Amino acid sequence: MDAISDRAFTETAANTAQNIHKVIDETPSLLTVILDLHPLEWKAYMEKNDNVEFRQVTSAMLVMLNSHLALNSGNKVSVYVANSFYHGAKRIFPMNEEDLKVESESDTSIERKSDESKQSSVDIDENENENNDDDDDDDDEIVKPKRRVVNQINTEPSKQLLKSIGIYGQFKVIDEKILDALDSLYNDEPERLRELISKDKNFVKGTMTGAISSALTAINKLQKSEETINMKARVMIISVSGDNTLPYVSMMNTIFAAQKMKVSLDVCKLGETSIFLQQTSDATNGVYIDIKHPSGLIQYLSSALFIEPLLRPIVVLPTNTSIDFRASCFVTNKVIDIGYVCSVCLCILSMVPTDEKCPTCFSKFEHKLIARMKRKPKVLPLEVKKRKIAQ
Amino acid sequence: MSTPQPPSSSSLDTEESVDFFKSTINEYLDNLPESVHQELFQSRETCLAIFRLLPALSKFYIMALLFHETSAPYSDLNRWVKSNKSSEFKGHQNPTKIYQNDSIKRLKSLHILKEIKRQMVHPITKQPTIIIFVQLNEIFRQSLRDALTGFLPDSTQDQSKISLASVNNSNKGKSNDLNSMFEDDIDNDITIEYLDRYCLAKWENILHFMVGTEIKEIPSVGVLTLLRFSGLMELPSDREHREALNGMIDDTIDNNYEEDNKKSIHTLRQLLITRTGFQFLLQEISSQIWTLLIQYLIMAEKLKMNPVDVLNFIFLLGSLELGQGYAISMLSKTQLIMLDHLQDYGLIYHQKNSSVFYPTRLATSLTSESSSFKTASNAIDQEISQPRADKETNSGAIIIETNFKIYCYTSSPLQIAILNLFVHLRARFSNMVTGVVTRDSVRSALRNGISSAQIINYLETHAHSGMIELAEAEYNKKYEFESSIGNMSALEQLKLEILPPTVIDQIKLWQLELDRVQSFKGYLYKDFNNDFEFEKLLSYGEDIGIIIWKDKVKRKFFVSQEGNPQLIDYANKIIRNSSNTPRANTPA
Repeated sequence: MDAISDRAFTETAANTAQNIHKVIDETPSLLTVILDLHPLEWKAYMEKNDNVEFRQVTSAMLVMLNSHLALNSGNKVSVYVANSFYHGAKRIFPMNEEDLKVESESDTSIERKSDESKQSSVDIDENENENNDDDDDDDDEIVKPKRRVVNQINTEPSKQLLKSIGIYGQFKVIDEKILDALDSLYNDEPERLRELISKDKNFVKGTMTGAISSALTAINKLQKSEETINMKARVMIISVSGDNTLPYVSMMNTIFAAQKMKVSLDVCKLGETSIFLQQTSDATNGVYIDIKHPSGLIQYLSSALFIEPLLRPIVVLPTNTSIDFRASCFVTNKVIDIGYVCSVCLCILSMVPTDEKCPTCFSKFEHKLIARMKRKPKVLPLEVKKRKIAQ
Repeated sequence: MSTPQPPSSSSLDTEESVDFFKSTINEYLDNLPESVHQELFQSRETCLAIFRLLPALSKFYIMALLFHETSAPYSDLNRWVKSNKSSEFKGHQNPTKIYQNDSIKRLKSLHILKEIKRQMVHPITKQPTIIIFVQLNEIFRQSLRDALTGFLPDSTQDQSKISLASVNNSNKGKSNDLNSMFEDDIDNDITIEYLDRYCLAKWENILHFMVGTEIKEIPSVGVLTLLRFSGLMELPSDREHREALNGMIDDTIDNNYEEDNKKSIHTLRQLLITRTGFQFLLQEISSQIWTLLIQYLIMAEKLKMNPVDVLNFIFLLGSLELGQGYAISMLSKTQLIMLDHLQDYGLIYHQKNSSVFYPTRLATSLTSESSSFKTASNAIDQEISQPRADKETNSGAIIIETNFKIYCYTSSPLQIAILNLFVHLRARFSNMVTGVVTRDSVRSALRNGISSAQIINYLETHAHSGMIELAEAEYNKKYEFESSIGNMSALEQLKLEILPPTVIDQIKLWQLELDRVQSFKGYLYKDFNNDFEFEKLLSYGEDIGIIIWKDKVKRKFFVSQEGNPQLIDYANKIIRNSSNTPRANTPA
């Protein structure tokens, strides 16, 4: 009798390990890519690394998205851009419904602009370089034909590479949509972009946190909806910006939100190391990688940054162990070792503000305490001497 | 030593699981020779489809090596995976390790991963050592890369035209008129709904024929031949033949194929369903299609069709777009023959003399994962129920209670017929049937060759969405609780319980009731000379866990077949030491 009952019940227990792996094999997942388009940072980055082109980054990103779709037919992708010259953070794939409507209405205007919009998104580097070159002549008439010539030479092969036919149906549709969306971003307000890149501006606020939080919102919505309930998701951030463009408070809040949702944030960092983004990936069980050889970006994207959420318990994450956990000052945005903390809202400060009010919650600090804090320490040797004499 | 008797089949071959279809297609692919693999890899769709069928870790390995120009050391594959050294798995093998080994084994058997041994000089000790490197199959790598990057070497085509990569190597010359594939304007009236209705009608017709319902139009000779070939159905004469052989399964059916081909439709319409046929009915629709396609592949080989062409076409179908028409001019000769066959199964819609064919939903979801297919099959279920069930949007869902009562929202005669196999049906309403799972009803199903696992599986896959939601909520609650207290072993044992556990256990127990006698292949050891010998062999056998039964008083024990050589080795050692030890082992 033992043997009989045993078999019925142990059978299932023995299979659980296998079941876990079957689940890994079959659960579809969502990959959200957030592309940082901060114009000034890109300019700075391009000046430092002259062999890097924006085109390479987009094409590597598209290959990564394709590979993700290839993994499982239920897999989904979405792409956000964090740009600072038009619209802030925006989802470019899948398109919002309102945007689609607007687009269909303004079909004629697109037709009109068609020759202009042929200019591929991947040409931003050319745009930028050009704009830097002709700093003095603001004459549009001269700039435009010049650019068109450049496009004809440069975009044709690049378009071939990116938009070529013969691609697996689904990939092609998605890739084209993303490229078109990037295209239109640059074409919508070229003047504003040019103005931003011109010499006198040196700081523009980044919109990375906006992009992350809207991505998390979309993931949350997806995980609650009927068809895709409990779909696994991860976010990959391609960033060039330094820490000074990231607002500390909202960044931390997005990290905590992601942590709670159990969504991993992977970071692919071009340029300088970012302390905040390191903390982001560390807190969310993500991968942080400083890209030292941007020409091999695709290899990074297809191996180290290509770990499915369900594979994470099995695969060793390629993350360095030494992470800078320092916080940054809320006022100056600088990373600090030792600072002041507001006792009401825990806001971190590198110096005491002159109006003696917390910049975040506006609670007034006590003047006496501040005075005592600022007081230089004094040495009191006299009392000791007196005692000795008394003895 | 005579050969042991074959075990009674009922208890052993009932282990079919949900991923039946996956394992069959994988098995088929694994066993192809390397040259066929090489040819297959030249098609990108095939590469993508094979890629999709692999375990997640294999996919990860491929992705990591895909853009790696040189070969990587084999040890890297191990280094990327966490080595679980926790004591939880003491006594058992490490599941992660097993998973990893499986993943690598699959890659090797598909000839995707190649091992290269290279002599290297150790940097410190200066000793020459052999290091194993791994590399992806060159053709596979190129095709998959091309598929992912969308790179086409000789493309000069208009980019505004959407065209799919349906060029196989065999018809490369025609690649330039791919644009002519799109002739939508000819058959504008062929909508997705029409295709869905069409393929379902075809597929249901086959299933109905198998269940034995009266139908107006019997499936074509091709379908019937395949059903017979695959052993899902048999002619009365086959049955007699089989019974004459006393249940022994033999290969004569295969040999009879040529003769079968000539059998007229009148003979074939007398086909009767077999045990495997019953099991087939209980599977999900995607597994059913794959089961038939695999059989088709085997049959195609017998017909001297090129397996590469056939497989490429099947995988190509999976990557086509639903509702899109494709020109038949791009197909090879073999594929044109297949076109007719696949049309009979409802995978393709093709009008006679038309130059365009349409893949149906059955075809386009071929390479989908089963979990994502559920939505597709739900859609199909809906389609089934819609025309008859007065636009009820229910997907023919089953509710089963802990008191064994079953409610099924369906009006499809097919589903009712299937339920009737293992449920005692009580009442039928316009959109619902009710019934009870009883010991007798389950036993009659078991006698028909349906296993308890299959019944449970069927109930699970067709469970009402409300039941799934409830189970998921329950699962999440438990998961949160266990992870909050950090009970990892409990976490691993957690699983989604869609059906009430009492029902599952009871159905399993009813099956166990039927096979009270369990058979094991093995050897009986008896007539030992003294206690010492007996004890020595027995304790050794118990140490390595091969003793199935023992009787110390009569000095007998029974050893499993796998363990026997080991024990004999050990016994021989003793014999060598002490001169004469009479030992008899009689086969059971």
